[in-house]
Amino acid sequence: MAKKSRSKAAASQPTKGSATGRKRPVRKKKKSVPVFPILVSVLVALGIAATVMSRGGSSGNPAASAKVTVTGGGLSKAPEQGAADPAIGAQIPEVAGRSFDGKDVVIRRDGRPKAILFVTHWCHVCRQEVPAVQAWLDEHPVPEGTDIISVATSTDPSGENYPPDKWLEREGWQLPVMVDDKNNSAAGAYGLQAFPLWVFSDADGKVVMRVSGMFEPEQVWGVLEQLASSSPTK
Amino acid sequence: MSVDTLTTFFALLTVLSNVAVVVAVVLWIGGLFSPAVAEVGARLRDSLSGSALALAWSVAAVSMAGSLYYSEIAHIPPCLLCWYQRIAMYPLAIILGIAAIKKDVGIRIYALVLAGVGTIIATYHYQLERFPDQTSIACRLDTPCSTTTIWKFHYVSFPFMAISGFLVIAVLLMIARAPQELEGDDVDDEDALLPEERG
Repeated sequence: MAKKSRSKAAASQPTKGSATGRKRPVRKKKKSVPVFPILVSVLVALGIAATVMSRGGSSGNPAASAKVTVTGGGLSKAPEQGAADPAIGAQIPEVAGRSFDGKDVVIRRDGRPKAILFVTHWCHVCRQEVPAVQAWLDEHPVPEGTDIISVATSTDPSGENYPPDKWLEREGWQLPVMVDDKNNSAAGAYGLQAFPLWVFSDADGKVVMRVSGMFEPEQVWGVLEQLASSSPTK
Repeated sequence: MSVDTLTTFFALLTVLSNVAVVVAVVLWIGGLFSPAVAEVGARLRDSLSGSALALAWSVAAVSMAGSLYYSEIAHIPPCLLCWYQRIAMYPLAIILGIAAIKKDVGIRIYALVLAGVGTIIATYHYQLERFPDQTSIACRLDTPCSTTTIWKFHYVSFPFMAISGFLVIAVLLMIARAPQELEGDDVDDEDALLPEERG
């Protein structure tokens, strides 16, 4: 017995012949969604969006336009904490650069003991060190006859907490900041291997200590006071 | 094209994949309680299921290409956990490609295991980035796994990109269907055999 009812769609379908001579409905193809053309369009749109969005970040990179001049031989690579440092007694390189607002910042062998702090915006330890040092500085002035100079280096527009100038501004950073160039020349000259890096030099411009990692501000001030008291100019 | 531009592009892809996974999960859970939502989910699944294997392969291939770009062209060396995630993702780029050509959904279980392992490792890596004091007191230049190398839209980093890739691959694998399953949908079963042709 023939089926009394067929779906209307099947009834309207063109049919093929079958073994019995009755026509067999042709399988109906659903309209397929053009997935890959849509995907390619989405990728192109995202590419355009990414280009527009990153234009501001790249052009605003302070390291891109920074110029740093290093004089003197570079220090060997800074060792891990606790290991012997072959740079002890070596002359610190002299570095000339600029701050974020274009003012001259120099590291010179000028008869004054120094603490040079290398920081980067994407390092979580630097983000602890900077506010700790600033809080200590708010209560205790830099020991007389010494200098603390910071260097903002390894700037990365894709990195966390970018840009570095806004970060330091948020922290109320009062110490001089030199902006390292895109090749991280200043950091390389001082043998930086890990952030933050403290480099202490005596009045003769010789390295007395390098510390990679968090260094408590109280200890920083202690080292500078000791260097200042043993300075021949005092 | 700068590294930052490409990073922004991959981060936008990550956000898109996050939206896709969230939509899939919402439709799946909603479909358990609402027939209307189930119907929407079924239609969406039907429109994608035929291309799902190829899409999953695309995600794995782009993930692999992206990771190679960062290490070989941008010279950002992968950390140890990044290597483990690569071990999970790179085979997917090969086996899903073969499965897509052969339209073999039997790949599902093998690929899901790889995606699952990769997700677990990437999740551990992501939390290590967020709580780096677990392992480091300094940020080394040689890319420790606790360093957040890239950071976009306040939540996208390398391991999060990996998590997103693995999850969207898993969702696509779950909705993939074999060609014979798809053909069965195109025909009213009553018309598949004429009455006198049935036994």
